[in-house]
Amino acid sequence: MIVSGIYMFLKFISLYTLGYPVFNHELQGSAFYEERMEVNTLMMLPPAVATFASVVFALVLRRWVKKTELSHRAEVRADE
Amino acid sequence: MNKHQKGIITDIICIIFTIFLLLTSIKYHLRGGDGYHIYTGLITSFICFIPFILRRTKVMAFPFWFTMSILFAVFFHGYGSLRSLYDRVIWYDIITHIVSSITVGLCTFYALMVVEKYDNKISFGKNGIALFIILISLTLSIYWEVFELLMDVIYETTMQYSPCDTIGDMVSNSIGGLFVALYMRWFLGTHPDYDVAEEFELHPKLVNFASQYGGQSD
Repeated sequence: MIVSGIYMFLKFISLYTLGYPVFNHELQGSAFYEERMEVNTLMMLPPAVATFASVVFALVLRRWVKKTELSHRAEVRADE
Repeated sequence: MNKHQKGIITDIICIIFTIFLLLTSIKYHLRGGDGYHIYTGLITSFICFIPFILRRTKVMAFPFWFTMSILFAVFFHGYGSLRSLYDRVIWYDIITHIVSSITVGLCTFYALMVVEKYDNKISFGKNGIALFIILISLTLSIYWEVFELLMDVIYETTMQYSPCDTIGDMVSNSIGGLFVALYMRWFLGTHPDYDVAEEFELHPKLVNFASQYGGQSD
């Protein structure tokens, strides 16, 4: 998630240098809805994916840790 | 000022903020305001009342400054929504984000302290706590920005004004998170015997639950 945060900063600089409208005054009003959504999505898509991916990753990791803990306990018992 | 006096002052401030937000919501409703802002006003006024309820029912008593940060974060958001301050005042967004991220940072700190106290297997250490406060605060601020984007996509709202606004929010959140992390690192250095359960005056049943969950038998 932190990497995606850093990505947001870099993407903002990239959008600005490429000439996209990135400031509030350039995107005000309902006429600019499509444009606003486009630049916001360009910047926010990877963090949005990372948000859901991190939840899945955390659940998988939790499962793996539990499994490892159980097998470790079984090994300890076998040694005893 | 002792703990009891601080508690009474906290209760009074909770009640004032709750009533003020309720009245502002009613006034906004009478002027024909839209549902989203009225619900925001009502929900925030209820949240302002939660520390009072928890203290009076003796479930837990939030520390004074922690309560103040919750109250101000919630109040700024509720009042700002009802009075359209987010649209009218440029720096209002920055202030609310900094105050909110300080609250989130404090929540993270207390949560980590509870885990460290009651879980036998986990020890973060002073530097670890500070590091985790920054990491978790930043992660939650990204979650919030993603939530804003999703709201804009699904309900066609205008929560995210522009990429510059998003970056401004992120910088404000980082400042708040960093401030809490540095302060708490200093605080833990000067208070080595800090006890989070004692600070919160946790109900014995809660302490018992936390002890059992964390695997402490005593």
